[in-house]
Amino acid sequence: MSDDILSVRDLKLSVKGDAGLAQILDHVDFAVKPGEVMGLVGESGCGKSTLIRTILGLPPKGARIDSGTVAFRGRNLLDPKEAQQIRGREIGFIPQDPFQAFNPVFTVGAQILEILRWSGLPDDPKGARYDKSLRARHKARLIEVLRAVQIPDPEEALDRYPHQFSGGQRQRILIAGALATRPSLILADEPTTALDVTTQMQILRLLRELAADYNVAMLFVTHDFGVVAQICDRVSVMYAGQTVETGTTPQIIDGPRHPYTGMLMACHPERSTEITGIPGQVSSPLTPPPGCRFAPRCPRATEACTSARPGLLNSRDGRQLACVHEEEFA
Amino acid sequence: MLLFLIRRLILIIPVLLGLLLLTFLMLRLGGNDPAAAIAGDNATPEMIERIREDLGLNDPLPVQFWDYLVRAAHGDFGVSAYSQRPVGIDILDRLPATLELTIVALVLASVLGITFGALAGIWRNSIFDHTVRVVSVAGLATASFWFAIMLQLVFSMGLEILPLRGRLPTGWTPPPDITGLYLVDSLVTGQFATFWYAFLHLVMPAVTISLGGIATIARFTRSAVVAAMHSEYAAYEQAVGYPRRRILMPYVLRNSLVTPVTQIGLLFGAFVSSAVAVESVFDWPGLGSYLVEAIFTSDFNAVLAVTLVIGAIYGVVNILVDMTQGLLDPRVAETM
Ligand SMILES: Nc1ncnc2c1ncn2[C@@H]1O[C@H](COP(=O)(O)OP(=O)(O)OP(=O)(O)O)[C@@H](O)[C@H]1O
Ligand SMILES: [Mg+2]
Repeated sequence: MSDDILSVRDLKLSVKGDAGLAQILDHVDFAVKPGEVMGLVGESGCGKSTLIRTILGLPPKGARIDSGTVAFRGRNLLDPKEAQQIRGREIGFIPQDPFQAFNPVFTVGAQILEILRWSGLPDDPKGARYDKSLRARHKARLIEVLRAVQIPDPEEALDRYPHQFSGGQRQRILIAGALATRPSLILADEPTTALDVTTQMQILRLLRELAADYNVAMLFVTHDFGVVAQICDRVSVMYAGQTVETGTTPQIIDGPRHPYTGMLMACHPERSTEITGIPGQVSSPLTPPPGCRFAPRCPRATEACTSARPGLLNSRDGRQLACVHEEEFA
Repeated sequence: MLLFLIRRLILIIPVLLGLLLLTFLMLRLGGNDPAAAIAGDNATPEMIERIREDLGLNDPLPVQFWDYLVRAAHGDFGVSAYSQRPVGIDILDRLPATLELTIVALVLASVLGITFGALAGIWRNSIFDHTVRVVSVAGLATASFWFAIMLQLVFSMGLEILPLRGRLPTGWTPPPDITGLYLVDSLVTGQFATFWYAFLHLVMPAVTISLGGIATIARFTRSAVVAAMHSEYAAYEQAVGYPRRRILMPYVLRNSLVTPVTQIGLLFGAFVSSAVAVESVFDWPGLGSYLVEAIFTSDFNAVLAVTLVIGAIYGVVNILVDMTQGLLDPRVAETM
């Protein structure tokens, strides 16, 4: 357990807004081991981005942590000071939309070098001032990672502006930005959804190779089981802010046990002949149903489901599962 | 960039021609007789008729306009009926005063507008933000001549800390004429007392002219800053560990300057027209007060030439603004 690089335990987070108290995360619980690619799957609005920002120490404005811990190698990421030290430096980040993530009026080189400037490299001389020579070191490192993400002519690319690159190239540059500081964990929030299918495939392949080459762990957010199958070692499924099932990719894809996991997978067009969808709607975080939040849409729901939130239990096959109907198998 | 500059400069020419033609027609069809204005009050009809003949006022209008253009192209803008001097000389005398006033007003509006707007955006919904908003609305709604007179009442007549009118105290020798801008000329020749007085005289007219501009620029800057702070790239910069102050400066701020800079260009037109009223109130010896005199005395040559000069300045300022935008935004630069 203690060898986890990232552990999110029992995380409950709510945001006070104009409409009332939104209970966005409700007992999210999973861990990432060094070097592994962990998928985080769930429908739109289930709280994936909120979770990612919270892990980076940037919970939404007005957020309250009701319970739980978020730790990076045992260091508390819910402490803003600690998180500021860790993000960028030890946890890299790849955003969802490469078209929006860059500031359009600065060169890409300036923007990525800025990450290195504030986070530094692990082998930078201790206590060195940020001067020409340090900047040159960082630039050399940046050119190295730009080459690794297959940006042609990286020296020249540094002086170009974001709009002079295609979406795929921009995402490669952002990946380089995440790798540049030699982090041991990268958070990627749907890094391919803004790209066309062919580019998606290339970026996924690149990410898989880089994660292995650099031995970096990755928390990979997606709502696409096809992507999970391609890149993830393990996967954790969320529904409406609750973790419902976590297991290895083959376990989850070949034998989903939580009713939601199975139904979500059935929605995936490549895995079913007809477009099924899940009847009903995701509950609003303002008025979450009691107990299991999936119960109102679940064909197997019974009274037990709504009386208490099912705990996330270790199943005999090694997965974690939060469903009263599956507990007997645990 | 150079090609862009040349193209834009050439494009000013048809605009100026149109402006001249419009002014020319309005003056000629307006019913006032420039010959009578030149001849003075005691002129006989024969004298006026002779002047009309001399000036070519009996020619068909197109011929008159063409003659004017030909002379103007050679730098001859005619003689002012009011001052009896060549209009070109009059304008050269008066232009620096207006330039100094509008440039100071523009700098004031830009610096204050951008500062207030940026801080209001950064501290959104704070007391400061609300104050800036209320003051902006008031600033936009205030008529500049009224505000000018209030300033005079309070600071000149009441508190007696700022001079009432003119560019320098009566009888004070102006600095040597290098640029014609008193602030610059007195500074480079080391006449610090003159500099100080020139500055004091500038304060009220410049503040009056810039008032609406400060408000407009502040509002545009504020909304640009708010949008930039809530942008995806600001969220990204935060997520990858930029410190907050770094995100604000330069990343958010530089991005937020693009819109207000456009406004500054547009505002310059408003500044010049407001200068016409403000110069009269403060007795500022610039083109504005010259234009007012010229209009009241049917001094057609002077009106035409001032129109031409103001139009040309407006065109040049807007080219400068576009070039600044190119410097701020590489996507704009690419279209140049
Ligand atoms: N500041 C906030 N105040 C109140 N509710 C919020 C706030 N931010 C997000 N939410 C709500 O929190 C829920 C989770 O949003 P989040 O963006 O984390 O979802 P997501 O899983 O990343 O969705 P997507 O797949 O569309 O990116 C949504 O219901 C959203 O409406
Ligand atoms: Mg999201």
